Amino acid sequence: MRVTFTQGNRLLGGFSTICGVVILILTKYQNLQLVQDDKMGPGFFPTICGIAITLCGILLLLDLQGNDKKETEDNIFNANELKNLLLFVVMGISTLFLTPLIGLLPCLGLCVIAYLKIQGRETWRKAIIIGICMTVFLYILFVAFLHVPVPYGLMES
Amino acid sequence: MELLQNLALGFSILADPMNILYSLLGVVFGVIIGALPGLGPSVGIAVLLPMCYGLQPVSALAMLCGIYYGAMYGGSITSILINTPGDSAAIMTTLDGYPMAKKGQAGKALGMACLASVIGGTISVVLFMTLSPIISNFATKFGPSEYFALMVLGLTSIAGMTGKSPAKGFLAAFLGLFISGIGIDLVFGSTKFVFDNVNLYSGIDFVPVAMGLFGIAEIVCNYENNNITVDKESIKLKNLLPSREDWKYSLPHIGRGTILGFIIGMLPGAGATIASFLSYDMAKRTSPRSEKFGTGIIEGVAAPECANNASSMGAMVPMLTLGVPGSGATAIMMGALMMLGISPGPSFFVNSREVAWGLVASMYLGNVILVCVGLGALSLFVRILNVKTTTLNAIIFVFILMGAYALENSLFTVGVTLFFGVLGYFLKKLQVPAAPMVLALVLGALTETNLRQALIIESNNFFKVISHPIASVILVVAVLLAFGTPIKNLILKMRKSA
Repeated sequence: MRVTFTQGNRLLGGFSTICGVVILILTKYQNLQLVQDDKMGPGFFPTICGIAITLCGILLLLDLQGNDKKETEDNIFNANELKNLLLFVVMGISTLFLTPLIGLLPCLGLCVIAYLKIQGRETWRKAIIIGICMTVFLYILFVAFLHVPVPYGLMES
Repeated sequence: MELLQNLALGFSILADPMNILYSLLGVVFGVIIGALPGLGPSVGIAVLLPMCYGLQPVSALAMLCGIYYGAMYGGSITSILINTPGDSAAIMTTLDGYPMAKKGQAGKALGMACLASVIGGTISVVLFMTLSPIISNFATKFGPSEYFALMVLGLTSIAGMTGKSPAKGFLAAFLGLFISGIGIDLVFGSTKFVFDNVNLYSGIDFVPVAMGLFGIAEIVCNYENNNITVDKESIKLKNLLPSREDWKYSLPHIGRGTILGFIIGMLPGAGATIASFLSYDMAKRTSPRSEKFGTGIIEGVAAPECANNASSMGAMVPMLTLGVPGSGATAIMMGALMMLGISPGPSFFVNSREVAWGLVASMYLGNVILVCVGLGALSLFVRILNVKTTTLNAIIFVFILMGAYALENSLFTVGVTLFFGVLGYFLKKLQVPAAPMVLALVLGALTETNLRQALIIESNNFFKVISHPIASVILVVAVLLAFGTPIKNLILKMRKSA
């Protein structure tokens, strides 16, 4: 994915403008009024935020038009960073979906193993040992000591 | 003279070795809890609360106070070393602490964080002893109008965090402000941007947002071995301590930040996070090297760290003298006091004289223990940086997810953290500062609630709200802080052209 800083700013400006407008539409759609029963209504702050976000977006777009040449044309994204991001997102989403099945702590242990194997290029043995140690450590700290009620998944029943 | 006699009484009570041991236990536990992402002093105190059963009141309080300021310092460790604030009060420490670590000055930053915390804490104890009766009366004069003004003052510090592009800074701030409004409307009971999702009814907490924006975004960018290297020579104690020049730059900010933190801490609901934000902002505005803030300078670490410890002392004032806990941690501490048969309130220093002065003495002792623990374990903390980056990333990631889960015992919070982690990465790449978003998120709900309460009290007359004497003074200061520099520049420009 090649995105220069200029293009990124443009995307940010456009996205912010749309985001601000969506906030304003949703405020209206949810019937959040600016003033209700002669008092400041629940829509007061969201409306201000919606307008301000739209304005900031427009400012970013306008600012770009005058400064296009000054901006750097280097790609702001790095392939390795994106791979890293993707890995974290996949691990995070997997944790969310697998926790009801196998429990939170085993999921986190698996995350450690997967990350060390894929990104760290560690041996299976080392990755598994660190993963298990981490799970045990989290169990001792959060469950045994801090009494956090972690989900155990199907093991619970 | 009476003050010194009372203090001597406090130290004589505290001289029991068991009291010292409990204080040490509290500080060590607090530092560990504070360093864990997402967990703050409230969790630490709540966890050790059952241990207070059967303890002497002074022992129990010495331990709980130790946890409180231990956790305040502990939050800075992960802020400096891995750019992940241990708790919300340590967010500002990341701004200069982590760049210092990147420059190979992690030890110095940690040393300054510890010493600034201890200095802030110790000065605050002196303030606590001497000023608490006077100031607690002043704090009772704070109503919704004054709190609203205070929150506006806090929001003006965004102006100093916008970086190169004010539009991007304010965009982040308004996004934060919008997110802070999600949930149930406190006046009308209507839902705002909840979309029938039960998890959103209580709103979005700023801790998972901060962990995502700072922590996850950072580990995503650190995909290969970082440039932070620690050699054996650099972790010797003499190299970890701040130099004379560092002190020269930092001491004025420590003094100001301590007083500011103590005052903010006394105001119920304001807390250490706001104190650290305001102290950093004040340091940035008053420092001769203000343009270097955010690049890794020592006073950028000292200012928020002394303020957050000072505010933890300040928070004790309303709790002990009025019986009004100003923060989650002091609320739990008050519960502990009541559990031990002691009622905090205006007569606390009279009816429970021995406990009260024992507590004051334990605050001094706790600070001495904190400096010993903090500096003693400094080289150990710095060694974390020698762990392989990928291993450290994996550990931080699971800690963040676990911390996010432990906040509300909900997987939804984990999802929120993940979402803001991804958002934080893109914002970082586009050079959009994350700090204004977190600040607005912290202050947004408080600003809205206090403004609306004030308007209801003042029959919807906004001018009455801002014309309260204390509120108007605070608002004038806020306006001067926000627009002082542009106005000054304009006047200078006009003078030049004339």
